[in-house]
This record gives sequence, C-alpha cells and structure tokens, in this order.
Amino acid sequence: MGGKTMGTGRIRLIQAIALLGAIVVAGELVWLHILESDRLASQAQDQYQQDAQIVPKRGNILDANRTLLATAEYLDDVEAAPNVVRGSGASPTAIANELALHLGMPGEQLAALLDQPDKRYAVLAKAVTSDTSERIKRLMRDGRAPGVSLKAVPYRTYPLGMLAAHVVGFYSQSGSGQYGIEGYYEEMLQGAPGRRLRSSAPFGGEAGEATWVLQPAEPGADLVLTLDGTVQHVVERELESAVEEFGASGGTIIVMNPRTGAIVAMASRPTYDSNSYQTFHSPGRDAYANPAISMQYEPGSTFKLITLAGALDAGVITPEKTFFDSGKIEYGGVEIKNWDEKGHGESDMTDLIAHSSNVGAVFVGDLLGRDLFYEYVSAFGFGAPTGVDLWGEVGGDVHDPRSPYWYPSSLATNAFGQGIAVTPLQLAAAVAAIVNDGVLMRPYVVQEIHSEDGIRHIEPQAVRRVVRKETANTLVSMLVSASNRSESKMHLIEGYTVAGKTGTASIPLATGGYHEDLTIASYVGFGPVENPRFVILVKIDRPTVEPWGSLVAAPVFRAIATELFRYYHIPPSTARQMTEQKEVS
Amino acid sequence: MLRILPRSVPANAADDAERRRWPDVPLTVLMLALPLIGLIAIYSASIAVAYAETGDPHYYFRRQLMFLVVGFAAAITTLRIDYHWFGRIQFFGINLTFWLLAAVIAVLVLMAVTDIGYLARGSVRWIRWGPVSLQPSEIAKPILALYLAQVLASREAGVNRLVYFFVPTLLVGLIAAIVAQQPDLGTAIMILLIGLSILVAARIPLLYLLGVLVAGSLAAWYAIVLHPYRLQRLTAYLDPFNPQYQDNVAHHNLQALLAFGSGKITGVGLGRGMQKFFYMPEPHTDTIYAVIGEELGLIGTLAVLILFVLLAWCGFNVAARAPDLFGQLLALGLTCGLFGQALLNMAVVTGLLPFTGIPLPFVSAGGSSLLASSIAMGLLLNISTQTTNAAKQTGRNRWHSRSDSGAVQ
Repeated sequence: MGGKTMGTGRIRLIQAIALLGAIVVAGELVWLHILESDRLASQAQDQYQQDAQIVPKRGNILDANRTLLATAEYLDDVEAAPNVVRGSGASPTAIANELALHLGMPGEQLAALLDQPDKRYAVLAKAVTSDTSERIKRLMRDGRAPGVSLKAVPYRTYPLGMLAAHVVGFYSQSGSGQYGIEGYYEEMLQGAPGRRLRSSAPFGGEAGEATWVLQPAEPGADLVLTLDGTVQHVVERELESAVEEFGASGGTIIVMNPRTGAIVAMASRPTYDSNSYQTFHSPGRDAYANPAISMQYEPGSTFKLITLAGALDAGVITPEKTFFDSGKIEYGGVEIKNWDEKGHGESDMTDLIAHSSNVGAVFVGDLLGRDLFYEYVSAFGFGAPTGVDLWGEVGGDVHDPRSPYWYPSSLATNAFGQGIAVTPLQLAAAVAAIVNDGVLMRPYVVQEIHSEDGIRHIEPQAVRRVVRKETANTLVSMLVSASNRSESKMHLIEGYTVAGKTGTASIPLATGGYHEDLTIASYVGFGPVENPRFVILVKIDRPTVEPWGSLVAAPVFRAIATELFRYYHIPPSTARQMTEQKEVS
Repeated sequence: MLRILPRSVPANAADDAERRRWPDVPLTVLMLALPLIGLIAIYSASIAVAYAETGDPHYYFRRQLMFLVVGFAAAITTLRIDYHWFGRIQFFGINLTFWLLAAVIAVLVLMAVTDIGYLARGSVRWIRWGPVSLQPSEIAKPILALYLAQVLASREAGVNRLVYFFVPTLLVGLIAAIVAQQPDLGTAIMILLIGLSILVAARIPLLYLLGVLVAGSLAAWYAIVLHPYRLQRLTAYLDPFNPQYQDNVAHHNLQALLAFGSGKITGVGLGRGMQKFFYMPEPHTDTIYAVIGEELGLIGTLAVLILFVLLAWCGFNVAARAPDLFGQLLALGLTCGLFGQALLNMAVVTGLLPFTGIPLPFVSAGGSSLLASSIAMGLLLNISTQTTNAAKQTGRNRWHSRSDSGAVQ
C-alpha cells in the first residue's frame, strides 16, 4: 500500500535523460552565444540600426527675377510599423479609424495596411499637409497611434506649374531630375546625401525615430536662370494664342540676348505642368522633350540669312550684287521655284531678302561654292549641339559634301533652308551671332549657381567669330532695308526699328518629298536694330488657317517685341533720334 | 459522503522524528531564487510591451510581484499539507484527487464547448472573474500529477493492471486533447509528459503505452493538419534563416536566435537589450529566456539552465527518497513537469525544437504558470520533509523494486 515504493532505477534513468537534455540545450547555447554570435548579432544590428540615407534638400530653380520656378518643400509621409502595432496590443482598426479622420482616406484601406503583423514597414500616406501632420503628432503624443510615425521628406513642387516647363523639366517619381534644368543639373541640384544611423523607437510611435546623424546631407545648389519669368509669361501667352488662332499643332518661341547668348524665354506647345507631368501624353514623340533643342526641322527661308552672311563675308557678293529672278532655276538636275512661283526680274541682294527669293539663294549659294558654304554653315553652329545647359539637345542634320546623302543639288536647296535640319535654338543662336557683330555666343540658361561654397556666376561664352563685324553690320542693314521693301509689314512696330526674316518651311515626309499643304511658319527677328537687346525666334508648327511665316509668325514676333520694348524701358527710335538731335544741338 | 481514511502507515515516534524535517534546503533556495530571477528579467523584458499596452512600463512587473505573493502563499499552503492527506479524503467513495481533476476537466470542457473562456491571441486558454484570470490547463498539471500518483500508488496487489490503468491513461489523453484544441500545443505536450512520466514509472501496461503513443501521434498529426500554421512553423523551424520565413512564421524563432547571438558571452547588459522592443514577440512571457540571453549572455542562460538542472536533481532525489510510492510518483511527476517544461521552453526558444508557446516555469510572466509551479514546488517540498535516509532507502529499494513487495520499514 502506501508504504510500498518503487526502485530508484527508473528515477535515475529519467534523471539521466533529463541531464542529457540539459547538455543538448547547453551545447545549443554555446553555439548561439559564441560560435554563431557574430553573424546573429550583426543581423540583429541590421534590423534596428540601419545605416540610412538622409535625403538632401534639392536645390531651388529661380528665374532672373528670383522668382521660384522649382523648390523643395519638406512634407511628412505617414508611415507605420505594423509589427509594432500588433506588439502594442492596440487594434489596427481603431488606429485606422483615428487616422482616417485626419488623412481623409477610407479606414478599411488604412486598417488593411496596419493589420500586417509580420511587416515592419508600411507607408500610409505621402506628403500630407503640415496641418494634418500636426494633428497626427498629437495623436502620437496621446499614445493613440502606436507604431505610427512621420518622416519629413523633401518634395519637389513647381509654384508656377506650366510656366517654362520644358526649360525646367521635372523631378520624376523614380527620384531624379529629368529633362531641362532638372535633368541637366541633376548632380548639382540633388546635393550629397548624408548618412544617419536609424534606430527603431523603443516605444513605437511614441518616440518616433531616434536618429544619429553620421554625416549631414549637403543641400543641392540653387540655380538662378537667365530666364525672365515676365518675358516667359508674355511669350507663352502669345504662343498659346497664335497656336489657337492659326489652328497649329504646336510651336516654339525663343527669346535670346544676342550679346551674351542668355536665353530670356523659351517656350513650346504643347506643354505640361511639371507638378503633374505624368498626366501629360503626346503621342508619337518624346512627350517631355524640349522642342526648342530636341526637335529639328527644315528651317526654310530663315536660313537664307546664313547663306547671305557667308557670301558677304567671303566677298563673293556685295549688297548691290544683282541677279535675274525668273521665278525658277535648275540646279544639279533639280528645278527650284520661288515660294510664290513668281519671278521678280532684275534683283539685288536686298530684294532677295525682301522677296525671300529661292532663286536668289541658289544663285548666292552657287557663288559661295560648296566648300565655303558648308564651312560657314558649320561655323554658325549647325550640325552640332549649341552646348546649351539643357537636357537632351540634338545637333541637327547637315549633309556636307563628304556625306553620302549629299547631292550636287543639295547646295542649292540648303542655300534656302531645305534638306537641312536645325533646332530652333541653333537658328536663334546663329541669327544672334549676326546681330552680335558676327560673334557666336553659347546659349545658356543658368546664370548663377548658389551652393554651399558660394555663388558662381556663369560668364557669357563666345564660341567663335563667324563673320567679320562689317559683314554682320552690312547684313543687318540689308535686313532693315528689306523690311521696308517687303510687301509684308506684319512684323513692324511703330516707333522702333526691328528687322528679321520670315520662313515658311516645307515639312519633309518620311516617304520622301514634302507635305503638300502643311508648313512650319517661322520668323526670326531682333530689335532694336541700333542696339539689339533681343533676338526672337517664332516657329508655329503646321498652322492650318494660314501657312505663311509672314502672316502667322511675324505678328507673334511683333506682339512680343512690343512688350519687350516696354518691359526693357527702351525708348522708341524716333524719340531717341530726337534726344540725340537735342544733344547734338 | 465525506470520509477521511486513517493513516495508512502507522506513525511511530521514530518515524516521526525521521520524517518531520525542514524542507529540502537546496529546493527551497531554488524555489525562491528562480522567481526572483524571473522578476528581474520581467522588469527588463516587459517595459516596452507594458508601456505600449497600458502606458505603465512596470505593469507586468507589478502584476508579477502580486503573483509572487499569491504563488508563495500557495507554496506555503501545499508545503504545510501532508501530501498523504490528498489520498485520505473521499467523497462518495471516490478520492479527492479524482474530484479535483474532474473539476479541472469540467472547466476545460466547458471552455471548449461554451464561451466562458476568454479569447486572447487566437487561443481560448483563460477564464476570467473580474480582474482575476486563470489558465485552467496550467492548474491541471499539478492536479493531474497528484491524481495519477495517488491512484497508481494505491493499487492493491492482485488487481488487474489493465483495468486499473485504463481510467488514468484515458484521462491523460483526454486532458491533453482538450488543451491541444484550445489551441495550446505546448501545455498539451506538458500534460502528456507529466502523465507519461508517472504512468511509465508506475509500470503502465505496454499496450496502453503504445496506445497513448499512437493516439498522441495521430492527435499531433491531426493538430498539424487542423492548423496549417503549425506545419509552417515546422518548415520554418527546419530553415529559420530562409528569408521566405523571416517576416512571418519564423519571425518569433529567428528573433530569439538573434537575441542569443547578440548576447555573446557576457550579454549586452541588464536592461540594455533591443530585441524586447517589439522585434521579438512575447519577450516577457514565452521568450523571456532569449531576453536573458541577450542581456546576460551565455553566463545568464547557463546559470538559469544550471538552476533548473539543480532543481531536477533535487526533485529526482526527493522522488528517490520519498517514503512511499505515492510520494515517489508525485515527486517524479512534478519534477518531470517543472524541468521538462523548462527544457522544452529553452529548446524551443533556442531553435532546437519547432516553435510552440510555453512559459519558462517561475521565470516567465504570468499568474497561472507561477501558481501551478508554486503548487508543484510546495508539494515537492512537502514530500522532501518526509524523505527517509537516503543511503538506507537507496540500498533497500534496489532489492525491493525487483520483487515489488517490500514496504519501507
């Protein structure tokens, strides 16, 4: 009965098994604590002390008047550690409902994000307003949002939205600048990321994130553009209304300072808002590319200026040189007609410009000869990028005699701007070179770089002298006289002397030949002639109401030039002559 | 209906002098040391969880302090009651130990079929009265040991073993099954372990042993099929560092391993661990051994392991020296229960066995676990006050065990 006992043998056996178990556990402890400890410890460190990047503040982009075109604003992202939410024992639904009120999101969506107990990271909302962020901070302080945290992230915004979008570019969702200034100056704008040691908060959301800065981030440089927001606005307004008025597919306008190469305005249509670039689509081409530098076209008659400049400079013609304009000419086996298929009889070089005679251009090109012609074309910067500080510039297509695509007739067609592809900026820069006494300036957009190291001013940069000063001046006065002789007066502004050249370029078809009725109507002009302050290139693509540059593009030039005279406080030439006379007398 | 049986062994003066001793000193020290170590570990391990859950970082520490008082009282009470007393009280001709066990089973069954149970963390383990909550499956452990030891020790010579072992074996399986479906696999395993240790020591018929093992395997298979997460845990156990599992099922296990590794030999320092800050689930309860490992290193974990080995050593010695079979079986079952659970917890947390939640006796935070362990310790200490001379006992029993006939003195 009760006094009966069993032997101790079985007890000792069980004891031995127990001891064996303890030895196995002790072995495992040694393995974990000593043999595997380095690997395990570093894996543990990794999960709570992450070497995290500090996102630097991206540099601002300002116009010449110091108006913000692009800026970085610190906004809070609302994040959560769902595993902490679970660990806190709080109900994900309750937290979700609290947050839903402030974030304006459905509670179920938030609850689904929070109720993932095995996840350590979830983004609940991005870029919330500072007001929302304050209210969430209050929730966190009250302990009503365990596991929830806020992270200040610099967000890119474009206060003026559409204005100069092609020049500014945008900051993509993938986290880099794209196109325009944003793309070209990516390195400078992005700054240098800093490093911090991120430690998860002991009490989840309550303490937020404890952070040790190892190396502070270096903010990106601020860029001050040569672009003048006021001029840009005028340019965009005029372009917009011209495109609409003439039923055009788009267009480009460039305003340049011929003395420096500084780009004062540059606009294209169709365009987009840098803040919401994703919503913009443009079928059949790179939607965000800046047409002023990335889209080449056959310039047409505006290119005659280059032919004339070369011929004048080489001395093969003088303004008085005459030729017989029969309305058509055969060259290299190809018949070339004037745009109006009319002859103008005995003409001098000014008539050539005034009538925009193709026959005359072929005559001049032939006099200049192919070698010198292409030398001048290349010296004016065609066939190579201008080197402008904008993302995605192309070089145009110039087929010189060494090219397999060159035919003897090419010299003739090239002479009046056909069979040669240029970018609007190349043409604007080349005309600016004529205006600038024959010196080609590198076009540029950024004039100052404000970085941690101080302010760097970008000096205007002369590329080369293309033609002699006299040549340039002669051509300018020829243009002025041609304006007076021309049947079109659409570009003239009362009281001011301006000059320029129209262009009505055919649009080449991929199948060969040219489009039957669609054209590119353009005008490149400058003013005031006495002391040029601006070169304006207006290019209207495929106007449907009216094809001619003189009727479509020249009025746009006039409208912009008129505004510029006022904006730059340039007194009318007549008034100036009066004051000059007064000074003399 | 109530009947108190006379003492089965006549008490004479000499026996009394030999039996009424102080409780086993090393056991008493361990009984005090382990909960104190637990209290310190809980203080460190629970602050983050307690703060997040209640706003009071010392919430679990304070509760554990209260549980210690209750546990100490329970241990003192059971220490003061001669364990034979449980075998001498009968209601309706059936022993008190059976009624106690029947009451526990009734509560467990009620929890399974009604909603008196309290659902927490996906399992119905607790019942609640106002602020007091209790885990009946924990209390079932010492009571099961008491019942089995008492019943199996009282078999009269000549009674058919097959008949005699039938009900106890069935009850062990029944309780384990009910607990497993809560679901609480860890405690179910402990019920089986306590039951089997006593049944085997009492020479369970081989047929039943096989039956229990087969039924246990089937039940385990069924339990795994019923809850696919167990299968996932099993796969994750086999490959804890596979990134596929790192953010889900093996998270618990992996985080514990990282804690041990971070602790190295001397630990990162008491209170300085990082894993308890929500990286490792249940830092103050089932995984507290890992917190000790991180903060006190190999020295800390080995110390705790050694304390439990000492506890087992003392417990088995008490079993070996117990004055009668009841005491022997009871001491053996309780020791196996305490040490087995400690070993199971450590093996699970260190990744030796697939993950299952089970508290470390005395150390993990939790009232029911501490109460059950304290009752077990009180009973063990009571037996230790009645042990006979070790040398005499051991020598004699070597012989008597074979003949199964000898009564001590």
